[in-house]
Amino acid sequence: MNDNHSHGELVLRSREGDSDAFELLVDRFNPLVWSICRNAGLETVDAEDVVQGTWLRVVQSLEKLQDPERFPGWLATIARNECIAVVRRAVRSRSLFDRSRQEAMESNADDFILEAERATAVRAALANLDARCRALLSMLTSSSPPSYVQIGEVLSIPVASIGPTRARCLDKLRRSSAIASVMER
Amino acid sequence: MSATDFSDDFILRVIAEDSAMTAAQRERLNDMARIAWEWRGIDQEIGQLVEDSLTTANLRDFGTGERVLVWRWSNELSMELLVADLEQRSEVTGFVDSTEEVTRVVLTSILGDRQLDEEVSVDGGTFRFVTMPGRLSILRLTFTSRTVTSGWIRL
Repeated sequence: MNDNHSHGELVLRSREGDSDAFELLVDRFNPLVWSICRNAGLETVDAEDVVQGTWLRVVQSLEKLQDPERFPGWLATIARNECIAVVRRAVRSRSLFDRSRQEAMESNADDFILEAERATAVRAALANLDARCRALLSMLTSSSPPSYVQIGEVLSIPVASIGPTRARCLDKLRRSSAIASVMER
Repeated sequence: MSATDFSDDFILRVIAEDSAMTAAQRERLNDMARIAWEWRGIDQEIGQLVEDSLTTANLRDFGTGERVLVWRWSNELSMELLVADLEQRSEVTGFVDSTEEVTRVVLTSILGDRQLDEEVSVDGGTFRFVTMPGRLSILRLTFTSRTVTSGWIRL
């Protein structure tokens, strides 16, 4: 099974017990769940627990999702609630810092869902971007980015062209159908 | 939404978050999600059971005639499972699916205030033991480090 299916199609197939479809959902959306956990400030072990708890709830509740195409926002909400539960437990035993984090997470639920949908669109657009652009953007955003000289050597791009190429790649990504479909909503 | 919602900064932040995940980490997280999938099809009661089983797990009959104990465990170095309070001698098989090595599995049989500890061998995750009639049987699993584990015991 390839990864060209829409979220909704994968959700419907998963509901029917198609494990391949579920695997594709997991592979496509685990980065989103992970980023929610990390942005909530969870430690790795807590974040891993949230990831598993989130997918467990997904499996249990997939039937209840009314619009399968809204899966990203729905998943993000589940992950966020799982994170809040972890942070709440931490608040009971730790510091005021945790309480402010909890309050920040509990406010602006709509903004949070919109951001999750935007991030999902970016990931989908990135998957369809040409390999050279993908490699360039990944290198530039790496936690320890290589120098422009190294990037130029790896991708056979003159150093002076890296900046303009980056801008073109970002534009191409923004014009992708994945992002366009989200902007139409 | 508009194009301004997809600023360079926003796009690059999303890409950076994904880049921060190593391939090994991604595979590990996918494995954890697969465990959740494997639990599907078992009665919905499993949801509450999983909630309960962070520190303990209970034996349930899911109406299939097959009694299965499933657990999810995390954040502790060991866990105890109340396996059974059986009326008769039973051979029990189980499987532990752990990302860390299982260092020890001990079956404790309790009758009144008498307690008997018995080491249970684990072969490739599978273990087998026999419960004593009329005794409360508790299985204790010890692991090398804090991790996430799932498994089952079929009676």
